[in-house]
Amino acid sequence: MSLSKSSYTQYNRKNWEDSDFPILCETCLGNNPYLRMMKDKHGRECKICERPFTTFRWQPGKGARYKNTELCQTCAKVKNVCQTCMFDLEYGLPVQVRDHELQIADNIPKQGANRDFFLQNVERTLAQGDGTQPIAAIAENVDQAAHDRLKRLARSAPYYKRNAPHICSFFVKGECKRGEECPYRHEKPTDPDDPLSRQNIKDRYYGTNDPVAEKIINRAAAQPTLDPPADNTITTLYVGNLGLAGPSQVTQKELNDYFYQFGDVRSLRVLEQKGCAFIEYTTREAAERAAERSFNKAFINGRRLTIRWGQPQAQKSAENAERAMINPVPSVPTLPLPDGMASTSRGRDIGGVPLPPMPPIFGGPRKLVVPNVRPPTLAGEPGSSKSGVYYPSQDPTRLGAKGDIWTVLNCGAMAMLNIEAISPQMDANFNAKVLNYKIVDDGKYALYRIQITVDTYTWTVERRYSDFDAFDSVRFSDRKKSFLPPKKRLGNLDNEFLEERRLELEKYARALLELEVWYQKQRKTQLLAPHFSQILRFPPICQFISFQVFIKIEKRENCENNNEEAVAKDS
Amino acid sequence: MSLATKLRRVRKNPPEGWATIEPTLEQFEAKMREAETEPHEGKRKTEINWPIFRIHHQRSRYLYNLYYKEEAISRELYEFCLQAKLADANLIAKWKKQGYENLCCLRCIQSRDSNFGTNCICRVPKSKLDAAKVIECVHCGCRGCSG
Repeated sequence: MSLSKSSYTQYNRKNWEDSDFPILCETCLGNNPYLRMMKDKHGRECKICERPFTTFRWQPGKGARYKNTELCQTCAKVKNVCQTCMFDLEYGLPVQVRDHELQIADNIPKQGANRDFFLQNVERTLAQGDGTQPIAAIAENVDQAAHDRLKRLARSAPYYKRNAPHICSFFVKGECKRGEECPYRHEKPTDPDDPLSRQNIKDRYYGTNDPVAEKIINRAAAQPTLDPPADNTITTLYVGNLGLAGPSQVTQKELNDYFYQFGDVRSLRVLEQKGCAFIEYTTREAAERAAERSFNKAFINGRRLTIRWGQPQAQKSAENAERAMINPVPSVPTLPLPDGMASTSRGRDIGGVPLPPMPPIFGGPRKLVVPNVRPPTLAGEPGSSKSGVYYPSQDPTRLGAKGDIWTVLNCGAMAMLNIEAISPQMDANFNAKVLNYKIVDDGKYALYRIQITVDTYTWTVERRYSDFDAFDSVRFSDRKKSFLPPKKRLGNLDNEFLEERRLELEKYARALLELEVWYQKQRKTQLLAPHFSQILRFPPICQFISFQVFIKIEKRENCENNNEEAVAKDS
Repeated sequence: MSLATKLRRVRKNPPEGWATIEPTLEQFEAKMREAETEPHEGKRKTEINWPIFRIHHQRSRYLYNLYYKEEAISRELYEFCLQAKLADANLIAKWKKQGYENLCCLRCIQSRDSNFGTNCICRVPKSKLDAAKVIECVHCGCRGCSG
């Protein structure tokens, strides 16, 4: 059969390929976005089908060797591989690995007229489509699990070391005279007996006897799995590799969007500084499902997340911490606490995430937590909680519903904000109430009507839960300190739940009000933090009044001056 | 080509002062002959012509300096040397231009001969290049002749 350009149009003859751009993988293109390529029309014969094709030659980034295309585009499309490195375009894996995982066994003809005929047919199919549909055996495979496995085997980033110059053969013989100028690598060569050094293009293309592929397949077989811990109460998963704190980090929302598919998420806490998160599921089954399906498989924003089971040690430390919190009664010999007294209803929670209060099965002192750090101004306050509590029954929050706020505020070192016990400010003149709620937008979400009273001013705002959530994530960048009631995914429009949520939000709003005004006082500023005044829609005048109410108008004259100033500033 | 042959081709008697530069030019000629007859074994294809380019550059530079910088030879003698092809007039013409004062050879500024229509790597100023990397241009073995 003649191989000439003139046979191009003839029926049943080999075509000479003429292309404008090569089919390449990211690694072969290199890290430089500004790339110059040399095109050589019909420059060489394809290493597989032996037909002339248009070759491209380019330097993939600084310090890399020049690369050029080895396969013609038809051959590359048949196997969905890079024209240069012959690795799969989607996963960057050898053909043999991909075919092994996807269980593709396409015995395409390898030589002579059979091969030519096969390629001719392939080209005809390609010409009919728009060039984007996959062809040959890869097109038919839709096994999602196999694709997941391949994803796990694949590199997450391009591997530019592959573009490094070859090892200098003169250096290997010990006679390279070029020294510094030598563009080849002066390194110790790999062991010639190593099977990896015995590769050839045809084997790699057809996926037979590829030593690299064998190595990868063996490694995949030996890959670790994540065993669920023996302790059945653990429903928390650790998620790592979220990236450095900043805009590129995987956000809480993205995590939630991914992980809620495995079951109900009770809580999700992101430690931005550490680049990790803890996800607690409501059931053990969900947690196991999540661990199994996401271990080494979870990709968010191109990052492969690290999945581990939560550590049960936190349980002990949490117990110890709480045990120490009840003061020994003076002049009574110390007795060991009965187990039930100190046990916490959710001691295994590693993060200390505030949860809605559990039904009081046992009235133990589960919420009696005293802050480690306290605002210095309050050090001598007579109402500080710790001094008077000797028995769980003395705990003012023991049976009340304020428990969660109590705990939460402790986290933020705001013990003085316990509404009833400590803060006398929360009265008819200074209050926040969630009056009612309504379901709007055809049952999409619930809107809560909040009434805020400051001195003689009263106004209402309508907010939905996600408004608070958005505010909260800004306000408490350290999620430990947040005391917003947790999100609920399903059934979050039941009347029962909404009523409960209303109460929780009321507590939240009150605590927030107290907290912000306290901060305002601490910082000696006239205005509330802008995002806070926005969420409760504080009129400018009330911002100042709240401040006044809080400090009980100590220096009236001074304040009045300030008031005028503030008003002047606002206007 | 020996110096005598070159002189014979000009068919003119050398002007005054020829005797002062003749020994140096003889030496250049001898070096050139040596470079021409040197065996190529063990050299890369591109390396073979490098000594020729270098001696050619040196000889042109010698006459250029004598006439333009030191003004030690007369105009007649300088033009006689150019006529006898002892110096490369085209190369010297480039040296007079700003930025080309140290140009190594004419091939290195022939951008038509390169893939992307650029000059040779030796024409890139050192400040624009990776400091650690040693370059040797393929045309004449120049290690940088710009800044």
